[in-house]
Amino acid sequence: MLVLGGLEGSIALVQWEDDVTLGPLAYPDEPTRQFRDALRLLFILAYGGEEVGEPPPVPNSVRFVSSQKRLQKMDFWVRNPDHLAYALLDRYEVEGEAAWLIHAREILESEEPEIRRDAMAKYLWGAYEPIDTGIAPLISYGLAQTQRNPETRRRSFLLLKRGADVARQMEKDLSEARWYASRAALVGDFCRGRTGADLARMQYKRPEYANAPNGETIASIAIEVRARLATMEGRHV
Amino acid sequence: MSEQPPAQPPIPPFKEAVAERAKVTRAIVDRVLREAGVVEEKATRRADHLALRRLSFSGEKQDTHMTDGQYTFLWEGLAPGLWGVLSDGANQIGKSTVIEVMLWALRGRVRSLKSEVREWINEVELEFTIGQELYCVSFTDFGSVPRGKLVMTVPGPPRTLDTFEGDEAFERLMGELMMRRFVLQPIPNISHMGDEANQYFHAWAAYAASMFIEGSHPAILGDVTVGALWWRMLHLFVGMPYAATHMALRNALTLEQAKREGFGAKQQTQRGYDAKIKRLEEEEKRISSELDDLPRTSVTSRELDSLTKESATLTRSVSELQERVASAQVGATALKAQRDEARATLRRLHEGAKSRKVFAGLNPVCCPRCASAFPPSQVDVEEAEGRCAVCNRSTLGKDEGALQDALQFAGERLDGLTRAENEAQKTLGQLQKKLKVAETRRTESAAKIREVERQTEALRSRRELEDSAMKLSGALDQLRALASQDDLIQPDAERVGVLKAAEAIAENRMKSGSLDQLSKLEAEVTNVAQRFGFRGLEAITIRGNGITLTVSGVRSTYSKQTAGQKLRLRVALVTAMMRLAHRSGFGHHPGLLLIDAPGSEELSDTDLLAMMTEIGQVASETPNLQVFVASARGDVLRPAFETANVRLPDLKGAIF
Repeated sequence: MLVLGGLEGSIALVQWEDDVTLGPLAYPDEPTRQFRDALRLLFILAYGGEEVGEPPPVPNSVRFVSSQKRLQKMDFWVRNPDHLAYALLDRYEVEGEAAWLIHAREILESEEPEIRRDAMAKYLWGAYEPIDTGIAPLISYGLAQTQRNPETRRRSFLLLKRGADVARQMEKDLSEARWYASRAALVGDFCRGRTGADLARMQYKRPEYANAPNGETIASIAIEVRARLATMEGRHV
Repeated sequence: MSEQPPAQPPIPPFKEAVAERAKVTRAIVDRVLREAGVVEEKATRRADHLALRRLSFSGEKQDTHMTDGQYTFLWEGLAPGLWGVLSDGANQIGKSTVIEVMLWALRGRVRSLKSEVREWINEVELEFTIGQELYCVSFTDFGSVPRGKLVMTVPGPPRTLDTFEGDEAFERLMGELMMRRFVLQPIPNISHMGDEANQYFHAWAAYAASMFIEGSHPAILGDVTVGALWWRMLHLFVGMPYAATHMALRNALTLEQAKREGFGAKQQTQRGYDAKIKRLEEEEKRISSELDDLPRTSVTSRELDSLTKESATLTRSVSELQERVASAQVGATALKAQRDEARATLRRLHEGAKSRKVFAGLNPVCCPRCASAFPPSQVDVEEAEGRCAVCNRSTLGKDEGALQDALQFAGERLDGLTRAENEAQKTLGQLQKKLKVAETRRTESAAKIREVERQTEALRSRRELEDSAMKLSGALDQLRALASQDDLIQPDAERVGVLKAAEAIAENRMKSGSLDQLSKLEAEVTNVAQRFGFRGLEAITIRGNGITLTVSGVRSTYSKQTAGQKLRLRVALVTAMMRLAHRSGFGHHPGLLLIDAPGSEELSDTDLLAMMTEIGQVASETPNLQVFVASARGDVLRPAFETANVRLPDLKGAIF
């Protein structure tokens, strides 16, 4: 029996005998969570958002995501590379555009589905986590702003010029940020021209997504998507 | 008084005729006839006749209720002619016993002497003559074992011809004497038992039976109905030429035929054996070659057991290992998932920390809630007092500590999980290696077992084959023994040819030579029977296939006659033979007739007396004929007998 040393407190003992039993694990990343969320949302707005028209709806705004739902869906794909890869393969199958397949393959051949996964809970109609905590710093620092349409009551998320500058600077300074830039750009490309409802329908195609109970994280589909790609490429897993 | 034979050219010697007909040499004929025991008759016998001279027997009667005690019966002065043992209606007084004792002493075998009566008889003595010779047979009979001797008294000096003890020796002795003295041939006959044909002989007992007449009998002569024995005896009694030769040849042929049939049957059996033996030999060869083809196995059941055990153990261990590998894989996969998650967590923490750093470098410009701008002084307060410019929280410094804690925690967790996963992968690798080894061993073991099973199969087949081979060998031994038992005697075509030729010639000679004698006999029988009271009898034809009578113009047969007529014919036949023999001087019948209870043959008193009177008359005319009659109808028959010739019951009412 092997007891993992140095892991105490909320970390369960990992017992090792002939078979392996693993206890529940905690996620000790809370202290920085809101900054990480803010970073991700900043990059989604900066690289996945659409350019604002003239005149800008809000002074100094440069890009926007038209609804919280849309932002949530985009966030889900950034946080779950496996689900994104699945959607990319679907798109490739429909459109035959090799770029989508290449993106999907790059994701699946990397450890992204495991390392980049940032599990998201499902609530009622899909992946939904309150994003206010993540958006709040962006607003407070004057990087983004929200605007509610008085008619539709829909809130749109706007990237301010200062936000775009910060994002550019972060991309330059932080290696971690670069991944978000390119991924957000990919997700933005992928979602362009689609409504939040369209995106929700696409994500609901996966049973892991559709059938996840309310409030629980949406499971990884990495194994299945890798198998799907292999099948598509005529490989055996 | 012999008749002159008709003038004819003499017939050639029998054997020469046979050789010519069979187209073989005389030497072959000699050999075949000798082998078949056929003797050519050279001459017929001068008629000598048998006559009883004196009979005595004694003993002690028991349980008769009237005449118990010792007795002696003596009847002397006997001579040819008619003699009677008579009673007036009384039975069970010993009349038949006298007749039975005469026959017993003459043939050495009792006919139907009651065993309790035999018990009374202790000594018997019978004097009889054959021609000029006088014989005396005397014996005791205690416990039904006759012990005695045969003495020839005349011509003297008296000499004991032989002694005897027991029924068989007695019968053999009397048979030898009589057959020799009357030159009678044993009459050969064939008995068929299954495939076997055997020759046997009717001898003196059969001839002697022809001297005894007890009422009507299906046979006109003697008491044997099968094999036309009466016809054969008739020929020999009459002395028909070539009769004995013909009989011997007929039998030799029948035997040969039977042998041939037996040969066929045996040949078939032999062929059956041969085919079976051949089949079994082929089977044996096949089995032997199959045995050769079978791999020699050195597998012992212990080895098989241990192999099976080993295989079972291996199978168990493989499946255990498979389970362990599977569960180790699950564990390793789970650990990897945890490690991945730990890496992700660490990644997130780092990202968060970096982000915080960046964001921390930015000054808040507005309230995240209401977006109203902050005055720059609010930021100064944060720098000066360490309180949050937005929420005024005073513990910002702790955030860095918490972050460091979390980072350390996440790092350690990742390290631990990495080690654990490595460990798990190592263990998994070891288990997989073990599994591979076990699987290889199991595969080898399975192959070995398959080989052993093949060998076991071969071993089983070998045992079965060896078993079959053993059984076959036993069956073959048996068959060979059976086959060798039946040594085939090939029927000899040459012998058959000679015998056939001889038989044909003998039959021809017998027929042509007998015709005259037979017709004389037929005429004599007709004549005598008529005298005995067979009214309306016109002619009798005696042939081997039966006796035909013409009665009042109607043709009939012997078997259809009434009991009275049959009795007349039976007595007439012997009488006629004796009369012919007396006239010709040739013949073989002893000339003795013992007639018991003729009165029981539904004959009227008148007819019975007439018949008996005539028998007496004929007997007196026929010097070589002696007739003894036992009858309970003495009152009727007395006139037919000379007084001196009659034995009547004594004062106690018993003959003896």
